[in-house]
Amino acid sequence: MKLSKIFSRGLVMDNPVFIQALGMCPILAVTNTAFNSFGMGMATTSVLLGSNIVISLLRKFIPSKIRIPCFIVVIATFVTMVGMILEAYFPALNQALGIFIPLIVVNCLILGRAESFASKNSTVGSITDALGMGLGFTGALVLLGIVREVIGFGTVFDMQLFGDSFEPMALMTMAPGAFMALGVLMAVFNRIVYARLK
Amino acid sequence: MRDIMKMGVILLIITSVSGMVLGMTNSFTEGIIMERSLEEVLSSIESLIRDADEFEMIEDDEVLSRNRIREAYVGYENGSVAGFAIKSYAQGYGGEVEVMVGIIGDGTISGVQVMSQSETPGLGDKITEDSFLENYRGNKTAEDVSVDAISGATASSDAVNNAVEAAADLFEDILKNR
Amino acid sequence: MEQKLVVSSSPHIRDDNNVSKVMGDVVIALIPATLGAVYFFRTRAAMLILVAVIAAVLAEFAVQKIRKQPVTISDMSAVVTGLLIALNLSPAVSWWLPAIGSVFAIVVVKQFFGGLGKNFMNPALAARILLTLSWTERMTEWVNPGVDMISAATPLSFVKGEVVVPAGAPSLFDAFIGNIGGCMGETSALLLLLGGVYLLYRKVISIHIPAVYIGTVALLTLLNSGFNVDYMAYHVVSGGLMIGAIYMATDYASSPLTTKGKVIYAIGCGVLTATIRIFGGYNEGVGFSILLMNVATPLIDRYTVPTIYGEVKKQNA
Repeated sequence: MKLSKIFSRGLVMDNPVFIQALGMCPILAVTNTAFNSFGMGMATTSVLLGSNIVISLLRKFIPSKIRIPCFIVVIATFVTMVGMILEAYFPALNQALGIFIPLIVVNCLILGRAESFASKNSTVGSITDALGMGLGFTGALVLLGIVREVIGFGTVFDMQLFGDSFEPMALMTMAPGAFMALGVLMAVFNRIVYARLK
Repeated sequence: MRDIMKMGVILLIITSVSGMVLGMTNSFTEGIIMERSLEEVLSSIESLIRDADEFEMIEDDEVLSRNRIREAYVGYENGSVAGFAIKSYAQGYGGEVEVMVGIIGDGTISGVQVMSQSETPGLGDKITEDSFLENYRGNKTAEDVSVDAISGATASSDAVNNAVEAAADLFEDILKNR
Repeated sequence: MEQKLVVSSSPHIRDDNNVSKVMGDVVIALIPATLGAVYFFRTRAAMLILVAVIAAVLAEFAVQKIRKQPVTISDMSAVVTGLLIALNLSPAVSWWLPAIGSVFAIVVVKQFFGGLGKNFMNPALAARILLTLSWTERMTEWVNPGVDMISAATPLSFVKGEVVVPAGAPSLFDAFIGNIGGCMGETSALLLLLGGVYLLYRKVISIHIPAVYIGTVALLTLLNSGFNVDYMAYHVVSGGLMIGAIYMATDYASSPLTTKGKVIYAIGCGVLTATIRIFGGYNEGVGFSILLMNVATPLIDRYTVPTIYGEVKKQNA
């Protein structure tokens, strides 16, 4: 498969959030602001990139019977590293994302890519796949984060959008708001982007 | 049998390498994380006990084993006690709320800062706003230190009230007489 | 009314023939409470009611136009939703609250799930909960009846955490006729009951849900107070219990089909309401209770809908 196809598949046609609906837990939990979404997306992308590279390099070395524990160890290692780095250099983001950083380890997107792509393809292809899927995930999260932040706080990336008379809809910052915004975005994405590409 | 041995060895290699990598990352980031959290605490104490030029952590079991108390610091000005900063916590709506309470003189609250919290964004997290926290300033530890709850965020406000009360009680019971 | 129908397993034929007649009856039944709201809270109430109704109808019209569906605003169901939303608001709220509530109720809760008869919870109540969670301060800012909008507490806030009606609370009679602070349409138990009797007479609703719901709350508050009848009556006539039990819990699409199911559903509503009022953080629990039981309705139906004659009961259904 052509690299550009691999990349654009993750970004749009097989978008992990809007099409595959993978990794719903962080999607719903930490997208209350655009910045948190971006942080979560980037953290997930770096873990995905690391695990895809290592697993594609080791794909001939790992026996298929124990591949799942091996994948998990690799993924967990990268997640822990990302957690430490965030705590050291981005404490505010780390505080905001909280428990959802260690929980990246159980994000099925990452194990899914390891199992269905990295363990069967070249390293270059796996890097492209990780970038496509990771950026598709990040983009969807940021989009959701922007929608929720604008309605729920009246800001976008902490910039005030409206005057003082605007009273944000607090529900949008809570879990029900996340479900509703995700549902609407998913419908719009499928209707416009996906249908047109088909 | 040989198959199992081989798989075990491979798993061992992968886990050892991953352990090594993590150890390296940890030794690299550990210092920065420690420094940062120390800095955070220090800047918080400094802003709460303005007059002090020297700080000391209280490592007394009688103090630290008290309910809802996490850490306590004493600030000195020219060798005499200028005030205390007490880190206390209480259960909020979304988890633990940790605050730093400054108490100066013979029991006046100089300020309250929220150190960590995971309250509902937009509602409970209003407890971190100055407009709420400044209500504590000037309250006497000998009296009721609680302030009015933020409407819609009673559980979160109560958590701060409880934590501040624990700090005030600690001052009244022990620290005052030092 | 629908009890005369034989309830079979799906697919059901949805018969919308007399929707507008039923909805018209509901509007008629709500007229006393609406007039009461306008009488107690003056032009402000009238303005808010108009905003809510117009927003609901326009939202329904817009969604159906955009989705190229037949426009059904003449069936009055959007009018009922808008009216119920307005009656569920404090008369002190800004005009945009009922507007947002109506648009949310119609677009998200009703049309996203397939329109009339397919909503999984009561749209008006869902809107009320959305508004309460989003703008808690505005939604809990109550005023006394009259033109001068003096801020006030609702009767329920007086009995919160108590087991007797404390001195200084509005009198039971005022609470019954509606001369108290609270939501526009909630305050007058008398006028709501009047509408309820009309609905019963027209067989638009059956007595089971309102009677069992209110009865359960009455029983539990009676037990909680150690048989203090005043306290019990206070709980029954104030807050959203009347409007909830008569007009919202009885919504066809989101309440069970059989009598047995209705009774289970109403008991659930009553237990939840009393639990929230007595032990919860909020003064009022009617909205949350009905929504939770709305969601439980498919489950209740599954266990209470009888098997069709001749069909073998499935073992592990």
